[in-house]
Amino acid sequence: MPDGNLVLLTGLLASGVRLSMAIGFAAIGKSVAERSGMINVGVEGIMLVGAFLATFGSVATGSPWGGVVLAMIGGGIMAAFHALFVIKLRINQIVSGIGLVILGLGLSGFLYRLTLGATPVEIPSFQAVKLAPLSTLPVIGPALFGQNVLAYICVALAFLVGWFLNRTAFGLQIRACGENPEAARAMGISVSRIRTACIVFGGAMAGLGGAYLAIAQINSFVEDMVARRGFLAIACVVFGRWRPVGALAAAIGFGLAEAAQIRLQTRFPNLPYQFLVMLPYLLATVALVFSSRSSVAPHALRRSALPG
Amino acid sequence: LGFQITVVGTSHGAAIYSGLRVKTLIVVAMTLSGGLAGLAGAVEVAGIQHRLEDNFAAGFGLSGIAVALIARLSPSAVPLAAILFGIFYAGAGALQRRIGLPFPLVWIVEAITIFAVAILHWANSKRTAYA
Repeated sequence: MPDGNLVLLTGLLASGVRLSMAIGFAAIGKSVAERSGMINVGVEGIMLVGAFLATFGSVATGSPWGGVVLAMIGGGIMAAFHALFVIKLRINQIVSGIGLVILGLGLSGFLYRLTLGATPVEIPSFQAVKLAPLSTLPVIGPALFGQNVLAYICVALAFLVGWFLNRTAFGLQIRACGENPEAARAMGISVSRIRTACIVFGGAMAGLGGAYLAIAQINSFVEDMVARRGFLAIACVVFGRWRPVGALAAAIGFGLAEAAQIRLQTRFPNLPYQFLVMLPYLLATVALVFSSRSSVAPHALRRSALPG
Repeated sequence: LGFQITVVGTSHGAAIYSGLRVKTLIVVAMTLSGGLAGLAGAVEVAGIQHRLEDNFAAGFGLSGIAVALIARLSPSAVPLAAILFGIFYAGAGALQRRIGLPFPLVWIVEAITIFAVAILHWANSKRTAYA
């Protein structure tokens, strides 16, 4: 392979991984919530609020970690709101989710224009951490060992959450709520309490995903910047078969497609770029069609009515 | 056809037992809905803006879902809900021009409306359940 292609491939892998982490965070959180039997289509809105809060928080505290904490708290609060509606008031999950998307769009844009919008400021953000010898490895070095702190945290979380779901008693209780809530209740598990916890965790993770986007990937807040990544995270959960690690893998696959798409734009300048922008989504749709055939969805996922 | 679609949506099982072609009906309903969404785009371009721009219908699709939800999925209530949202848009635009309130406020108002309608629905069902 000539040198130029090698450089291209190296860059492609590195930016693919970088582009996928925001979706990855959200997808990990969402896979937990869906395992407990709850769907939250409002991830998009939570990510937007997370992105804004991360920007605001890191400017206010002068440290990106302040932004991360604020984004996770905000995401958790929004998700708790969702939980209140769907579990306590038993409102349709999709209705509440769409409400969250629109609310997030409004809140983030409104607050941004009121606070930071007028004055351009420098936003403290995460820089790439190069694990010295490893990041110079050819081709895979920058992709695996040249990311920022949050990306490493994301990968670690995927495995940790996966282990938690499959190997701990609490993880088993979560899965029981998603597969057969009646049986879980008969076992003396408080289904609604566990589901609330899972939704709030999913919200905090979605907030973190938004934070990644704002202070690790793009390093600024732009209105509507999540740009449907929240919906892609939902697709990633399905594609990853409701496993956190699988969901992250699906997110990375999408990130790679996104990175490839950006590079193809320079290769085919005559093609309208919108066509290439569309490609990753087309890919996701086709992939979903094929993966849904052998679906292993939690059994209680679409029934919002639960006993007691 | 309309009734058949409603049956599929309300009770999947009943639809299968009564011999309806569930999958075909779902495809038909989706196609109709897609066609109407396309018509909405055509109206916006041909009737209001008279030119095709990138992203000309920013957020309208999402508002469309919101309108359908507020109308409680009944087509006859949709125009009312749609006009209400149209007023929101016009009002938010005016507020921004007059006193400089940021336009995204309109989304917050929309979301609150959705949740308010959902809560009203919940309160109603609760009352009838105990009556």
